[in-house]
Amino acid sequence: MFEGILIKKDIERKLHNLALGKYPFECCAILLGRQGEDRIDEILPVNNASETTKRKVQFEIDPLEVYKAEGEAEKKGLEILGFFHSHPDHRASLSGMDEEYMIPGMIYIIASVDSESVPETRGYTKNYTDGSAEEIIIRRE
Amino acid sequence: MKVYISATLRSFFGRNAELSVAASDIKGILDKITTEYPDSHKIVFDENGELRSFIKIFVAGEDKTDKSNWSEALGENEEVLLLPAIAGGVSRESIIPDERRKAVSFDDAEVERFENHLLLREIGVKGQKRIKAARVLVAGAGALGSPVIQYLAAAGVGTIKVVDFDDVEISNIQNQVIHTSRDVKRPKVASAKDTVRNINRSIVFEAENTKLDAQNILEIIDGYDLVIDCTDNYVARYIISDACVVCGIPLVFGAIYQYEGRVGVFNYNGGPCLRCAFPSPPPAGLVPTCAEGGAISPLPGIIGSIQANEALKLIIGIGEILDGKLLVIDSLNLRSHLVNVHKDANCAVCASNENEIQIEEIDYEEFCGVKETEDEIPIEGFTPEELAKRIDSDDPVTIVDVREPHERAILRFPNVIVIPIGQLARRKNELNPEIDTVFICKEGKRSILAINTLREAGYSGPMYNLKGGTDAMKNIIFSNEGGWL
Repeated sequence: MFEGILIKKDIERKLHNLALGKYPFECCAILLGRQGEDRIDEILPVNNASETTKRKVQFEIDPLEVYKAEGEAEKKGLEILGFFHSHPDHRASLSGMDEEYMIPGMIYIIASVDSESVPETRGYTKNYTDGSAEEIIIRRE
Repeated sequence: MKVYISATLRSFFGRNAELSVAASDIKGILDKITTEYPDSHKIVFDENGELRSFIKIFVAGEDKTDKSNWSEALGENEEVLLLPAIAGGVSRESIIPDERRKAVSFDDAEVERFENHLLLREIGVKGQKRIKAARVLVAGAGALGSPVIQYLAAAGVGTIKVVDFDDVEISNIQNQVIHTSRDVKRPKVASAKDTVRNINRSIVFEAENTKLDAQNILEIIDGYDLVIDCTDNYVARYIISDACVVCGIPLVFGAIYQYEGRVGVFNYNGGPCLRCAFPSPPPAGLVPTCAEGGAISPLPGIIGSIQANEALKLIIGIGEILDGKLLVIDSLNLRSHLVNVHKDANCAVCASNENEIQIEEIDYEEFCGVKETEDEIPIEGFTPEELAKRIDSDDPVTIVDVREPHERAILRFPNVIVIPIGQLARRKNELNPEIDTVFICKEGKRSILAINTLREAGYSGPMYNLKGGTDAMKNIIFSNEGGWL
């Protein structure tokens, strides 16, 4: 049974630092782990490929970067579990656009970030059966 | 032809990284692979047969996702990549559903009237239609309600319901700019209705001359898109916030006191509610209401205008929202700051199962400490007439004034001992427990707190409260002094 995603403290710190470093723009990263372990082992920061004027409110990852990343991950015995992005000055809730682009079964972590802190980090996944998005528990260790 | 399947999409294709497909173009490939793996069809295509947003198709390093490329003949050795489009963004959606926006139309007069909105790229016709379709409830037609109601009406909000049970008093005119001196003694909702009609007659204005309580709140807010809290007391604020959680309606909160104001958005997109920010109100009587503590005239204009602005942004679906944040404005020193409000995972209202909260069963007056409970020793009080009689008859009586210096400057009460509430416990020896002591303040509420404070501090002498405070003494004329008040 799926009991949420496990994120180690140092991994979460890396995600938060990425979000703070890219503020006021949205940042994004690929989340890597081992199949069936529901644990994020590594993060791979990637470029926000959105138009410059939209980067404060949107993010986009170049599909070819994902292609490259998954090839390299496989060599290390890892696979893509999901994706991370930040919401500068907004809450870490799922937007309509976030939901539209979610792939069923993948894990999506969103962090709310302001100029000084990361007040909120939440996780979501999209259901295989009816395509609805739901919040998942983030377990921290 | 080889088709590479991204690891992110593999679970829909039997976990294969590569498929060999006998097809000559992209359309053929998609048909073949979704037929071979039937479960993948509803993942790849939406209900209308369109490719889902999260899928990208690349051939020889080029993006061929657009349908116009699907019939291009592909070379035998070309590799087709089925990749994910990973994208997203912050939430900026309207609280008014598209169907309701589409049901709205404008005539020429409206196009002319709302020209300044239509010119804004972020609002335009779509945004203005959302504004017209919106149904907004404003709780309170006082200081904050005045700018809120007028700006909502001016902006073209289609339906505005205003709930207030008070009549206009002359002291309201200083900062309740929706009412005029001619409206004194009229119900506030009636006065507000007239003002709105003068702004725009086509707005549906629903006036409800009622006091909000735990029994009627759900019925009152049901069916509205947004609630704007313009009340001035904790009981109403908690009732409104709890009801918004139960009904899933966003709440724009505002409050003013003297020179400071606060504004925030609660219960929006699963965000925090008022109780997450303020789990319980301060002890009754400690913080005077606006009516007791006063407020500089334009302050509610500033805070109320921000409330109306947040309401319009929620309705149109643009900009940053004060969601999970509280904007605190100090108008005296011109400082403002944003305070983050976190959702409380143990919040008694918004973290529990919504169906479990029964608002009708919550005793809000007890929660806010404004109810006399049975085990408390009741506080005896004098009416203004009784106190005047005591003073006139020269019975020995000590009068303790717990008002602030600026309040005493407005209305002096002679022959009193002045002790601020904070100093009462330590200065209790200045009182003679053999003599009756009467405590006075502006409205007769802080004086109750004063009596309770002294009781807790162990003072045993007889204590009385001036019922209704100095406000109620205004009409008393003493026999020897012909109206010194």
